[in-house]
Amino acid sequence: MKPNLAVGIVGYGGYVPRYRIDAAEVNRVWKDSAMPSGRSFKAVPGPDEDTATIAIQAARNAMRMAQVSPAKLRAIWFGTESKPYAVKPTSTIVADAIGALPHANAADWEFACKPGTEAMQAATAMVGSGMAPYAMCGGADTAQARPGDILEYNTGAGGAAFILGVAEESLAVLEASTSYVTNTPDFFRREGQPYPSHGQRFTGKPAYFHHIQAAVKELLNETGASPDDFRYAVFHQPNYQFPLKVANRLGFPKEKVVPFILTSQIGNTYSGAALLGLAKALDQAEPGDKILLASYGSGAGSDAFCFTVTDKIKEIRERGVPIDKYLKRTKLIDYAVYARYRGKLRLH
Amino acid sequence: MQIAKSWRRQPSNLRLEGTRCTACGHLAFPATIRCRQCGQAEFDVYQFTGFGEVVVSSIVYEAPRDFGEHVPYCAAVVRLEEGISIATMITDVDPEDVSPGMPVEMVTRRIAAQGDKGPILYAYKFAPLLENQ
Amino acid sequence: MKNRIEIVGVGMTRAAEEWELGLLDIAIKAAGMALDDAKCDKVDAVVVANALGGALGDQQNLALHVASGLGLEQVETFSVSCDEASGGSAVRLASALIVSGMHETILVVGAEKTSDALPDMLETVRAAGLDSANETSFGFSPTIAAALGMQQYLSTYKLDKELFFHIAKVAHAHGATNRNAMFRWTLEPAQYNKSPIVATPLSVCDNAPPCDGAAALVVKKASAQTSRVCILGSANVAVEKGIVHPITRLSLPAATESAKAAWSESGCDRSAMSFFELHDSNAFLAILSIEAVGLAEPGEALMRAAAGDFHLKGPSPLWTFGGHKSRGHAPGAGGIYQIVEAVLGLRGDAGENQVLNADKAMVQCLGSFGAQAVTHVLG
Ligand SMILES: [Zn+2]
Repeated sequence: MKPNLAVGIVGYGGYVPRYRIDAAEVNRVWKDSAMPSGRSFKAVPGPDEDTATIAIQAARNAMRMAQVSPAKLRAIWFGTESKPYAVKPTSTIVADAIGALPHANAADWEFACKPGTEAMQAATAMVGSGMAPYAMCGGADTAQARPGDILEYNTGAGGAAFILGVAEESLAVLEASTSYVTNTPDFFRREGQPYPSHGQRFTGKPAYFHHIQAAVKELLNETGASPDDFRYAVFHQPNYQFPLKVANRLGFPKEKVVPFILTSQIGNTYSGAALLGLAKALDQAEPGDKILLASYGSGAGSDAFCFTVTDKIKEIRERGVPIDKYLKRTKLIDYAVYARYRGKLRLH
Repeated sequence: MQIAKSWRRQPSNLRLEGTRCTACGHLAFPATIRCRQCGQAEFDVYQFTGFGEVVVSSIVYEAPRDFGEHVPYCAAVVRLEEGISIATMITDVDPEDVSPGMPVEMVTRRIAAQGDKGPILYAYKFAPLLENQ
Repeated sequence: MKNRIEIVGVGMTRAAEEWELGLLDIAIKAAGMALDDAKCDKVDAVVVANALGGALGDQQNLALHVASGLGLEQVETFSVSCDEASGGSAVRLASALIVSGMHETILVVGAEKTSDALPDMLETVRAAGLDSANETSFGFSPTIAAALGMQQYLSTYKLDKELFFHIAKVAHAHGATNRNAMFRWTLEPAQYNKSPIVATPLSVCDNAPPCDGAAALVVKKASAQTSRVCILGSANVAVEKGIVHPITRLSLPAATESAKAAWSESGCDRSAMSFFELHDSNAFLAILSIEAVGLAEPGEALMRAAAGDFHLKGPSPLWTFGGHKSRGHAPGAGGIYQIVEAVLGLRGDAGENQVLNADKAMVQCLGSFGAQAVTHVLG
């Protein structure tokens, strides 16, 4: 898929909360013998943070980089599976905070961990059709996990926002995008339930791998590109192993993928995961680089994108906040403080 | 549940918008409806930059209702770079590390949520400048 | 002052947690004592001061209910709510009604019932006298503001926190002999230093304890040859609101101006005052008040307290019955308690709390963290 008008990224920004918990600390409490190996941390939102505040900071950082008038944003679309309000859009809060209202479309997108890339496709279409000069899309989550569940070792928090505009103003131009979606219930959360349920090993082969591989293969077909043509590849990252394995199956060498797997530093940020990876890749990309992005959302589907970095990137990127700033800003907390910050203690 | 009360403050709470008197230039935060300096009632929206420095801070251990779950938190007076001092909370920092003169920037946070059912108040707090964190 | 007001009767309940009595009960109790003291069974108007009752969901339009409870018929009633300056403001209103010629004899009551609210709720409601949209809804309260102010004071003047002990010590030294006081004991440094922190550097011991209490006066136009205690001068001054001002400026212009105006009206000055009752809802407002009315130079209130200036036998006796700190802090009634205590001191009826040869006193209460100040000069 490709818009009539060439579209690209004119600014991006990410955000990761300050607090971290060590997976080993989670295991000190739950003593799961099957705890994932390797040292890893996950980002924990502070007691005054939620998906809206994370999205707001990511959006502000994107606006700071793009330097476009907020009144020219025709869409503010954030994807999440941890909305602060079950009914009442998060995106209107974000849009209000950056001064983009009222002449804009604001909506929350939902597709497990991939609503942000769906919003990116829609924003591409909106700009690419000439309906809007700019559109913002993004994903943010304070990922939920049942205490003691295997998910709890790495459900993180973070988000990223992208502002799309015409290719001429862009730091990276979108070459093509594909989607591959089926009705696969590998992971879900029922209405009113605080924590998701998942199909354990069913979330692997028929879910994550099948959908990402299909979307990326279609993208490679459509663009005629091969893995060799890409400088970097970013995959949805529910853990450290899955993106490496799917890269290997698709023929992307490890070194093109590893720098953008942030799970050992901040955990799986769900809707923020692939997008934070893309932001990290753009932070170090050079003009001419091709970047592959493939998201995954349970339920299930994958959106794949091919971007080519332009020579404007250095000048535009200067104005932004590198993702590394947030990766290096850490305050380690123990499980008790984590339980308090995440509202796992009954107070009321 | 005072929904309208926080709704009408959203421009100042979320964007740090105040007013600048068209007659005398007096800056006000939050927005005012009559200039306290000259009595005029015409204003331009004034966008405060959100940068400033800590004048004084305190670590709060016993909080008013709705704020107890945040203790200990850091309360402070911050002087905005436009010269106006405001009472605000400092976040993203260990409260004992906050000191006078510390450069801070505005962030948007959950201020209070009135239990699990009420409206969530999103508004400004201040955090140490990111480059110093 | 041409139109002097005389105080013909006073009364007060003990400052305490009065579990058996409600807001209206304590108000009526104190009012009855004042009426008995004045040997008076008829007044023209009833003015009642109360700061928190409405917000705590207690009795509204309190003056009407007090008058009715006392069996006073055919009277005009006013309820006054000016945060912690309610008491002083109520007396100002009563004075105005008398001076204008509208009424001759007025019952003024201050009453507060804090013990029916849980502490965090009480703190929230007390905070409602601050700026509701910009301070209270962001989690600020008078206590947190006082903590910030104390911190600013200590760092500006390069002082040790331990010096604040002397403020509490003065109050407790005097409150120990006040049979209406909530905390009737003297304070030792060790006890002060181990007091739990509420908000750094302010500890529980730097805050006046909220309590239930009511105090009342009967006032009337003074006869030319009266020997009773009179209001010689008074003033109520408001300045720009906002907790940031006292905190950053370390001054209370409302308190200074209100004191000046009241002294000016009374035709005497600070040096003529036998003792002082200032607003000590917390130690920060206490020291700023001391400096605002000239009992200490800026930055020297703690040293003056340590030097013994404010003891009953010192040069500037202060909080002669323990102030809000030791007697107990019933916010809307505080201003009336101060005046009742001053009247006892000026009558020579203060017992162990008597300042020798007292003939004039200055009383000041503050509202909305010092943005409002009401001063009375009595003698
Ligand atoms: Zn003006």
